[in-house]
Amino acid sequence: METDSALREVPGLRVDHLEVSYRGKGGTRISVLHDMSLAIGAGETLAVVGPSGCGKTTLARAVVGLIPSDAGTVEILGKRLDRGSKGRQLIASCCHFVFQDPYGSLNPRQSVRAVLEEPIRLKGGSSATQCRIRAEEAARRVGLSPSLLTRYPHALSGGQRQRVALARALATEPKLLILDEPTSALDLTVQAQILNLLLEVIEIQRLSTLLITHDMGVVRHLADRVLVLREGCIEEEGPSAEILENPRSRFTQQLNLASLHRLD
Amino acid sequence: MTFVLEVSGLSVATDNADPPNCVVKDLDLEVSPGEVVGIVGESGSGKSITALALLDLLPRGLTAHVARRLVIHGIDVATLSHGERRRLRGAVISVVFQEPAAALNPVRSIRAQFSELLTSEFGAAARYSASISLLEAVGLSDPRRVLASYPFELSGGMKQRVLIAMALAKRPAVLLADEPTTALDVLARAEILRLLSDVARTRGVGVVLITHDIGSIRAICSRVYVMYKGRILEAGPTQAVLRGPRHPYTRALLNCILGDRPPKSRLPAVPMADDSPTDEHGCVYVSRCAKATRACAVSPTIDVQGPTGSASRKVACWHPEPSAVHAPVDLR
Amino acid sequence: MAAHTQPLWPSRRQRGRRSYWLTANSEVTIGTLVVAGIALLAVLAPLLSSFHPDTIDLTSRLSPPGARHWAGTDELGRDIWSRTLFGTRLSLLMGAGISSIGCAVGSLLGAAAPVLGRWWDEILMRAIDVLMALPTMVVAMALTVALGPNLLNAMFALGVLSIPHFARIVRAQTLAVVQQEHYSASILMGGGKWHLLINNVLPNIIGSVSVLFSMHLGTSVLAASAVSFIGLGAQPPTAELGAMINAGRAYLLDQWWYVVAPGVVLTSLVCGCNLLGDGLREFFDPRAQTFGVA
Repeated sequence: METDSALREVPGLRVDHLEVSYRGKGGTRISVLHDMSLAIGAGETLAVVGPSGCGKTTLARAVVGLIPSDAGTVEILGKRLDRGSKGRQLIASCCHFVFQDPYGSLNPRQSVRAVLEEPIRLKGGSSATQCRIRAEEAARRVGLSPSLLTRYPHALSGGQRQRVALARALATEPKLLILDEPTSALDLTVQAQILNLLLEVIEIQRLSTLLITHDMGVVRHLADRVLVLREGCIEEEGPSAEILENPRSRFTQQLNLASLHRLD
Repeated sequence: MTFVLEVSGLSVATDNADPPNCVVKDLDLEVSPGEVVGIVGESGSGKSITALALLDLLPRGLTAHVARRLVIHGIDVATLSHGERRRLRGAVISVVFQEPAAALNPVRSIRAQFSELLTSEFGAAARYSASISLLEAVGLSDPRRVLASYPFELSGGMKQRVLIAMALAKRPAVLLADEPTTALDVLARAEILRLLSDVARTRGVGVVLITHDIGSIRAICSRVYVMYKGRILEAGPTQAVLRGPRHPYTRALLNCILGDRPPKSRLPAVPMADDSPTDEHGCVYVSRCAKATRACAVSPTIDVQGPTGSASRKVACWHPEPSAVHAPVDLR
Repeated sequence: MAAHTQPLWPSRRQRGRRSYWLTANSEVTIGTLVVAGIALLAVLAPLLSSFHPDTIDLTSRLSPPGARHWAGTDELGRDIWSRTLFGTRLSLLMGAGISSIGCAVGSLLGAAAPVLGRWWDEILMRAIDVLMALPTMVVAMALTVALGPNLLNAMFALGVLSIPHFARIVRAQTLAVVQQEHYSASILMGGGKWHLLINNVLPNIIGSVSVLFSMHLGTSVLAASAVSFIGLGAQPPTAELGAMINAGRAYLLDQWWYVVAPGVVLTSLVCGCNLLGDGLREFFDPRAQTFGVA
């Protein structure tokens, strides 16, 4: 089966028994994620879904180290991720995080060209000309016209901004892609274009993808497997067809129905 | 049949540009009492501006004009003085916006905010019980606790319910809801939509749901208007429009719904919108339309079909698809 | 578009009511004009004054404003107009110097603190707190006396004492930038502290820093004059606005003209700086939307 062979290769992402909590009032610890474990093979897309507050965004951020975790391990491409600069270098070299709000994730004082060149420059080893060429190549791949390269984020539409964010992801040539609600801020027709683009990129480059979303339609469209979170714990996990059509838990059933707007 | 909101010929344009830039052009809208009507469109379609124009909340630089009629709850707005027009807001026509957190004062309790709203109508003693009954009417199970809370202690869905209660406090005839569920998660979204539908049915309020989410329209709206770049391109009963769209834009929108498409399939994408200014005289959709011909350089007349009144189908297109239902779009 | 119909919700102006329109732009214009005008006077001081500021002429001591001495003379017969012009030069230089020291060092510390992490943030901010706890004028006086009372030392002392003002505000602005997602994005792409500071933080706070600087200019000029007023900055015979006002105190009742020229220039300069800073702040803030409720 496709999934088995994918997992036999080194998994793109592997999380074991991750715990994340924060200090609440009066010194108590409030647990946001409890005993979280998952694995994503090469070329596989795992969607993490759940209502707001369930911890899915926390999971994505904890995996890349933006939020400190209390316990558990994260392995990217078989390499253990530890805190400190080595861990950050590992992240920078082989994975890319696409944020939900395309406006916030672009530096308002950087032109599109500068945004695309930044990760290439940070990686090092490319001359200025090479940086420019690779940035233009990435822009072309996502369908951004060259005239947009000199613009600033405030002069772009939501769809264009998200394309820039995706072009930036492509410029880094990652093996692991983390998408935090990539299309929830976009119009329907623009969402269609971005989803087409994502499908193409993920397939061609065999990217492992962690997709955070609340939209079951997007899940159905992009994901191979689904993880349902409820208040920081795994409610259910399995292939997307199964979770969407025949979920075992009533909570998942509620989510499915609410997403497709059946008011019964 | 009387409408609770009847708009004919609403336009909104920028003040200073020459020629003035039309953000909304010649819009017609009818809402019956107890009906939920949907306006669907993408960002930049002018749907939110339409709501603001009806409430006199347009940002500086935009002015609304009505070419023919604006009648709210039987009152012809053109006959009112300035002071009387101002008093329409809240009492006759009311609104709920997208961000519940931004619409509530974070440093005052819910009870204080209700008091502020009800001072003109009730004495101090009656205000508390009036607030309780309003909160019960919107489905909050513990209204006393909610009244005693501050906004940050409530979830997004609860805050939106509080705002709907506030909007209904003065018993308006029309309620505009501008993207009321966009900022909420899926579970809260379904609850708020159900609430709006109940409000329309039990109180006879005409609800206008403005959204970009076709699923919401399908769930609660009996009629739908499809807007693009400030014009209504198609209008009619929801089932009819969604099962047999006649305008190419409506068809394109429905094609983008991820409902029953095979997973991992390529969606038929619409050509990207460009930034060039729209030609005032031609069809606004011409730059993205696969069916555009030379005739489309002239703004299409509206083709009305079916019985007059609210059940009629309107399409603004020179090449609409024929009205017989074909290839129904499955939205499961 | 139906241009002939009445607007649906006519605004105040459309209903024929007058409305005030002091726009934000006029503050910047007036402020810039005043500050630029005074600066121009100062630069052209040698050309605009017919007398050397230090020329003593005991025959015309304490003469009222007239054709020869536009602003009168002081107790040593020196032309007040010339002294005011040259004094303005000094005041402007002092003010700019003090604000520059405060701005450069304070902004750097304030921006670096959140970027470097919790520990450095705490250490730097506690150091700034210590500096803030010191009473400004008292310490300025002590430092100046210790180092020797002259303008340069006064400028240095006051500059150091204005660091906390900049540091705290710039730190608050930086904290806002650190919360934004492009900052996290740059971290994830491998950006180090220096890259984050130069690429993400600085371009986004430069607006507020320029506003702070221009608003602080007025305060600096006043502080420099105050120090000279008490005799610790400019030493006689140097012409300086604060020193002149100090000397004029003794002659206030009968020779009123003594303090008028330096006083008017000083007041105008400080007001001009404040207007400029106010206007710049309005300019850089996202324009607040006002609805057509009138």
